[in-house]
Amino acid sequence: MTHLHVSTPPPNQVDPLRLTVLLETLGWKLVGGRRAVYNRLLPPGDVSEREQSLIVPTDRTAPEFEELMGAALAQLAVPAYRDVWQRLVTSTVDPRGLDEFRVCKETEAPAGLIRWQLGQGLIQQVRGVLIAGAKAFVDPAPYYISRLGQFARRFIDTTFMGQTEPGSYAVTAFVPTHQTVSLYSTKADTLGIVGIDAATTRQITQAIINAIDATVEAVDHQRSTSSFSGFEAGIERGISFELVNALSGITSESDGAEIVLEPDIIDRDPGQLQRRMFVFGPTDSSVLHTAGVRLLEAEPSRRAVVVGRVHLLTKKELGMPGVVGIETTGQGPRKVRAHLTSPEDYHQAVRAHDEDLLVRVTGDLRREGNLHWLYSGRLEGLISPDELSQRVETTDDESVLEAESDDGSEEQMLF
Amino acid sequence: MEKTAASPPPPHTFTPVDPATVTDCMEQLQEGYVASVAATAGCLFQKFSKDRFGFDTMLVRPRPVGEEISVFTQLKCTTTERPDPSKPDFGYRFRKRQYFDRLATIRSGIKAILIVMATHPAQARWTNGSHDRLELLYCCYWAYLEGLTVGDHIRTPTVRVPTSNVFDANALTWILDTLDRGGDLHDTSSR
Repeated sequence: MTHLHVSTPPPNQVDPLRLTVLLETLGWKLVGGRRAVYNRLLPPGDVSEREQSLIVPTDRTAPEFEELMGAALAQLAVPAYRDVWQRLVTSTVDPRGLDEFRVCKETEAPAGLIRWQLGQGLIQQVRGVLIAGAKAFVDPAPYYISRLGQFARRFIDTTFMGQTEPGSYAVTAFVPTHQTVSLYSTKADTLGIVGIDAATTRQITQAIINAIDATVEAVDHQRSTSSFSGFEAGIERGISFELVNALSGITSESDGAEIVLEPDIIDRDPGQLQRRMFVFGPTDSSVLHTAGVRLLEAEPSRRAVVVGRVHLLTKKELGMPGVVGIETTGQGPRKVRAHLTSPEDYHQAVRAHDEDLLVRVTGDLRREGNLHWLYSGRLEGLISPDELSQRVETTDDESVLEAESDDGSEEQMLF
Repeated sequence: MEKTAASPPPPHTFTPVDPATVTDCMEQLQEGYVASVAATAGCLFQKFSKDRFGFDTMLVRPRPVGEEISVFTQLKCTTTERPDPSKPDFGYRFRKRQYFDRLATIRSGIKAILIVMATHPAQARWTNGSHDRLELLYCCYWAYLEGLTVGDHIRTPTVRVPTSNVFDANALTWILDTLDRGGDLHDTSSR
């Protein structure tokens, strides 16, 4: 008989009671046993007790425990019991339990296969769903770009990708039920206390599910009313550009897709995290795509004037104006990237950089993730530092967004 | 009457029906015997896949969950041994040390027994049907080896199997009753 080429969990690490519950949940029947000695279970289907009953030793202190558990594991390590096996292997990864996200994309390829590009994309998109949901846990917003990236990364680092299933191409993510993810970059003074500066992975899983749930409702609402208002209304519940964009990718070029959450078999949370299944149709992709574009535009830009020192100059195309990085000296965003509209303005900015002058630029200020962009920027003048009386002006007091500094953000720029 | 050229093989000569399958058939014969005994005692005969487990079968006396009682068995079949019932025991030699070790290991849960079958060397004579019985040659004997020790250097240990331990439904019932009440199979005084 062919054995799966996966490592066998060490028998002494398998909790017999968990294994019994796991088997029962997957349709095995407890047909016999002896208290505090063993359980005898029969697999689902029309099978004979004379051939296939499985002995699960239950006394971990028995000298023969490892031998019998090893035999039980060997009996389970066959393709027919793949579902049990996968659960079993993952349960040894984190004994406190793993919640499972299974994302299945139906395509025209034969069952169990997927075109390479689509499969590769699917993994990225599932990651995108997890990340967008995790970010929404911290701060629901119409879009994030790179904001909260380090938190999302720490969350992703706790998860595992599982084996795909025969007969259907699925990407499986296992998220521990009770690991702690720090909300802020790890520092010596981080407490790591849930509710103060850390979250549990189960809380984040719940946020991801809430966000998908809100998205499905918004898609249904759009279908029945042609209105996209459900998406904006769902931002508080976790809908974001990143989420709908990832879901759009999952459903594009498909005959449909589904996302299933299977809470850990043992570590269930009564009344809270339940098994959920979300089904998307092949035409949902375009709705989601449009919703994504609208979410990106959800935050209106504001007319602003920025004064500051030029610390960065970049020009991608010859003869065109480039982008100027301005370190502002006012109370608004500490750094602003300005897209200048004329080559002459860019030239003035180069001069300002060279001569240590300050620039005064007007434009449409918009925050994208950690970065503040000034679009349609016009350089209105150069100021020597001595002349500066008012450092940052705005045409509207509220138009300067609260600055959020992130020194790492600059590395993501392609300058 | 003149003797023809083809004289019958002398007794005690190993004569398989088909040498290619005789080993499997010996296993099958013994399984049939043990399964029949288990059926008579109201027990389930569960066979394990080869090499997955140190044992060949598990005999289960079903009861409500939590109270059933079982015993593992290791089955060995031989055509070279014909135990003499007038003697207290006969010797059985394991071909591999590990077979013995499995049985000698101390177990606190499900216990294990050895069942040695002695059968006729002429395969065609193993069974013989008639209207009132199926005759099966010859007999299975059981032995309980837990806790026994042999020297580390012994690679093919020999054990003594009592001729009084004929494996039949009465014996199996006694074994399971004894295990059920937490008794010791080495203590045969209650038989």
